[in-house]
Amino acid sequence: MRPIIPEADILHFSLEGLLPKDHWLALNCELGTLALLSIKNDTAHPLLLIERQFTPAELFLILPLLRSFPTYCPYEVILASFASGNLTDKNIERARTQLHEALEVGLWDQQMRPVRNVMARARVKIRAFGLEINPILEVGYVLMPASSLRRLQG
Amino acid sequence: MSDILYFPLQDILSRGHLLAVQPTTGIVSHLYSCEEGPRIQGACIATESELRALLPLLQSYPHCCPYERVLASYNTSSDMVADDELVARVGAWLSEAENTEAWDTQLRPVRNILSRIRLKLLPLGLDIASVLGSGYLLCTPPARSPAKSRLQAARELCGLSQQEVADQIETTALNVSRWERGITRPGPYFRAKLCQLFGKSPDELDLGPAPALAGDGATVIHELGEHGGN
Repeated sequence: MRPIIPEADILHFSLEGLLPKDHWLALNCELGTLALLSIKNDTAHPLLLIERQFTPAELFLILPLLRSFPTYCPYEVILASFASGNLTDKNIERARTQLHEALEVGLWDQQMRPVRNVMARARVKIRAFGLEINPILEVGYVLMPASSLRRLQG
Repeated sequence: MSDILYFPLQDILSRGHLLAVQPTTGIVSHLYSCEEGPRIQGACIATESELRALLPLLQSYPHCCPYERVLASYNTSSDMVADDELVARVGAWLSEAENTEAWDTQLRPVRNILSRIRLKLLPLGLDIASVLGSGYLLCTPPARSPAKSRLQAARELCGLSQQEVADQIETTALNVSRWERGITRPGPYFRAKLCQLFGKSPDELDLGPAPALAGDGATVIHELGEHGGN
C-alpha cells in the first residue's frame, strides 16, 4: 500500500539535477500549494522564491511525478492517482488493465483525455518553477528542466 | 519574489525561523532552515480581509498595533496597509466614538476577522492578543500544560470548587476555569482577591503579570472570539 495522501502534510523534494543546489520544492498536500524554497547565502535564512496553488486533481498528478523523479512516472500510476487519489498496488493494477483494454479497442485517447486536460493546466503552473512535465510516448510522464525541453524543441 | 513579505518575529518564532506572507495569494508560511535545507513548518491561506487585519499587526510587531491602524487597514480599499493620513482620521473618529456603541459596532468586524485568522495562525505557532484599550498584539500561543496550575492546586487544597471560588471573589466559574488553564490572567483586582482567599502571594499562585505586556500594565485577553461577542 502506498497512500498518495502522505502522513506529513508538507513534503519536501530536493530533485537533484533538476533544481539548483540548495533549492527545494515543498508540496503542501493540505492547502494544495507547491513552493520553491532556497537559502539566503549571507544569513542562511530560508527564502520562499515562488509558490502556486494547485487543485486536488492537479495535485494527484504532480505528487506521483515528484515521487518518481528522477525516473519517469508510468501512465498507469498517473491514471490510478488521478482516478482514486490513492496509490495502492490494486489501484495501479486496475489502471493498467483499463489502459490495456483501452489500447486494444482504440480508446486510449478517450481514457487519458481527462488526465491530459488536467496535466495541461498543471504544466502551465509548474513552468513557473522552471520545470516542465514532458510526456514520453507510450510510457508516461517525466519532470524535466523547462530550459532543456525548450532546447529539445528548438 | 518581490511581493513576498518576511517577518522574523523575534521572541515568538525560533531563531532562524521566518513568517512569509504573500499578499497576492494570501498564503502565510512558517519557514525555517535545517541541515537538510529550507523547510516549511506550516502554512495557511488567509482571505483578503483577514490579510488586511493581519498585516498591520505583523508590521507593528514587537509593539502593539493600535485599534486605528488595524481598523484603517481593514477598511482600506486600495492597499493592504493604510497610509498614515487614513490612520490619523480613523484614530480621531475612534476617539470621538469612545465609550459609545458606535465604537464597538465599528470594531466588531475587525474582531471577528482577527478571531478567524487567529485560528489559522495557532498551528503556525502564533497567537493574537487583545490589549484592552490599546489594540492587538502578536504573541506566542499560551502553553496548554497538562499539569495543574498553582491556582488550581491551591483551590483543591482548600477543598473549594471553581464555583465556590467564583462566589467568594464575585466572579464567574468560567473566569476561574480560564485563569486555571492559563487562557486568561486575572487583573490586579482579582489577583488581590485570590491572594487574600488562599493566603498566598501572586508569585506563589503564578499570577504575575504577563511578561510581554508587563510594562504596559494592560490585561491580555487571548480569546478574541469570546471577547468579540461584546
